[in-house]
Amino acid sequence: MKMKNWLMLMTLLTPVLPGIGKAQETTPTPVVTAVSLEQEKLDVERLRLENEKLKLEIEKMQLSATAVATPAGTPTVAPSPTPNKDALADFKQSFSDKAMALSKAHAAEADLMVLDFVNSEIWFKGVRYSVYELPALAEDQKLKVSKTLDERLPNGSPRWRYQVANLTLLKYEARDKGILEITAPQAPGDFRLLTVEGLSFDSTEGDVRDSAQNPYLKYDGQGESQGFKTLRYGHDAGLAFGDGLQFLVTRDGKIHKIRFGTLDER
Amino acid sequence: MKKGLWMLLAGLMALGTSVSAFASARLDSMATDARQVGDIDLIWLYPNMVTEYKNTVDFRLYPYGDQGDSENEWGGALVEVDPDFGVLGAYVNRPVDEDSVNFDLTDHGRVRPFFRYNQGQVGNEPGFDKFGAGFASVYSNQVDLFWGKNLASGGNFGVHFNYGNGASAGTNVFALSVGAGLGNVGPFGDLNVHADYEMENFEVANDPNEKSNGVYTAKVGALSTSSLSANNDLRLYADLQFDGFGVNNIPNVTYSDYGAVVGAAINQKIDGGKGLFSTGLSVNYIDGTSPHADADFEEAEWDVLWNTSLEAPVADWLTVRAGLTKDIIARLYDRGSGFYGDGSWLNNAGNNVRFSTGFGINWQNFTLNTSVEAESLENSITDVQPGRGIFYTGDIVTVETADLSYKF
Repeated sequence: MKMKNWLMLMTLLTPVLPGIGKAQETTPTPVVTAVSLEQEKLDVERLRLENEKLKLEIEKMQLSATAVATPAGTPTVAPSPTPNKDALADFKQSFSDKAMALSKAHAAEADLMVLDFVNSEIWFKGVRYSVYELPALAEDQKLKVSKTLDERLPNGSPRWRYQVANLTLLKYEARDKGILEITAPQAPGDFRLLTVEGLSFDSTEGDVRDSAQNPYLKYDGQGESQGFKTLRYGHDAGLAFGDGLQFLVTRDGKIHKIRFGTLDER
Repeated sequence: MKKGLWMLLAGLMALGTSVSAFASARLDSMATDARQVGDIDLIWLYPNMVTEYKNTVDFRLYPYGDQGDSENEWGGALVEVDPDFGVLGAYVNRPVDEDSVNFDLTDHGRVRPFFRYNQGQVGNEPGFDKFGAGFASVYSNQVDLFWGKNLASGGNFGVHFNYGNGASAGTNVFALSVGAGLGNVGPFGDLNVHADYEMENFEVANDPNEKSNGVYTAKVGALSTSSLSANNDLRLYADLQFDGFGVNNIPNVTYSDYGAVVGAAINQKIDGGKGLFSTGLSVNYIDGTSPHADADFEEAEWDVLWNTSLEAPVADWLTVRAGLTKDIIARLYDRGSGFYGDGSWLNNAGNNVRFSTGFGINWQNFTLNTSVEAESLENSITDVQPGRGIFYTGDIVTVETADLSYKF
């Protein structure tokens, strides 16, 4: 029994800590008790786990630094959504640069909106707006916009529903952020959509699953809403409202609606 | 953000509570009226507005200054069941005679002014002690039910039903109100109208033949909000009220009144709507008559009330409010034998003024609004003692009342 344990220990030690194995060749073997063997096994296991942890952290840093959009449908390894602040800022900047390049490349397409969920921005004809500035975008770009009262906070502050074709913004006057909803184009004048991740209303559920998660937006599970399967992503903001992203997907796997913003407002 | 909240929580531990209590904490902290600045309290006049304040849970704390006993708190919820069906609402335990902050400024004689638009006794009878303790007309509101629906035309419609009862088996109250949002009508923007009728039944103790006879309150009113510019709006409102109170077989125990409140306010948004500055003027008139053999009186009162209010966010989680109300003109006429006067108009304005303040805390969908006793704030400013209430005993300020709401 003791010999068996010893052999197992040697097997484990050899690839992880070769120095130890080498030392054993020149050092007389002491009397090994069952207790000390177990202790050594535990130590080896601890070292092995620490090694794995280091490997994961290196991978995480590499992904944070190099995370860029990938074409829809391309399988990607889901990175951890908890990079450090600098890495996150770099990632957001790289995402914004990508959105700008994408929007400039499609600036001539007057029916296309480019969405950057990481920076809460919407691009139209190569011009950047916050997604919560949809009324300003409509005014600047001479788009037809309607404004109706949705509901009120107890202090009377209104929540307006702005509608620009198939884009809807729900926003309380008293708050900076709101909820942007984009429905798949169904009528003339509706807008097509392209995200920095390469998603559009032609993308499939699989495309969403492959590309929507990133260091900023963490996958938050799936559910049912309005009769559609819902894929949820979010960014925690502590005590304040965090950013949320939902894809409402039809039974045949097509994107029906995208909701983004302070979704916890409901 | 987190540091601020912890500091705030530490500060809250140092807040005292007062025995004074009024109605909505937000409105009281601004010394204003729901009709002037907009507030969820408007549903008590315009039940159609439940469609605008839908999906809200609303708790009112500290009524009557009863903090800590958890027995007199009241509140309810407004829920949109389905856009096609509309909004359902229910409140329980609404106080019968809790006063708003400005009530004291206009309560000069025996007739009770109409400022207590959402919490007043049916019949507005001037005080139960006037007729002795034999009348079992004291009651409690048990439940208020609402239904409201948006109409395809762009307007909305709502109904409010109230049931209350008293300790005496024969005492009960029924009330029905209707309200409608009509949108823009002529020169009035976003016009809302309402009509209410409340009635009370009771029996005089130990004499079933002496029952209430015509105890009612009827109200009609209108409120409009017109946009003057991107950041300014004008609110105009008018309410008429009629009250009656009588008892079978006791001919002298009757009371009736009528009156009106007409007001206007100009509101300016601060920082795109995160805050609000408001100034308003209201004129109130009421005429009450009681041909009681022993205390016959006819009282008429009118007031001109001016107020200004401020609601300013100082952080995304903290809103500070303040307001000042002044009774510019107050006149009282007593035709009777001189209980208050000698049959001539009396000047009751004096120097009736009230400063109010308070704060609100926002945490995602939760909001805690408070009104703070101005005297306690002034004492703290006058006698600055850093650390009071945190590192050693004492209160920083005294909270008069608080409301807790949640949007879902």
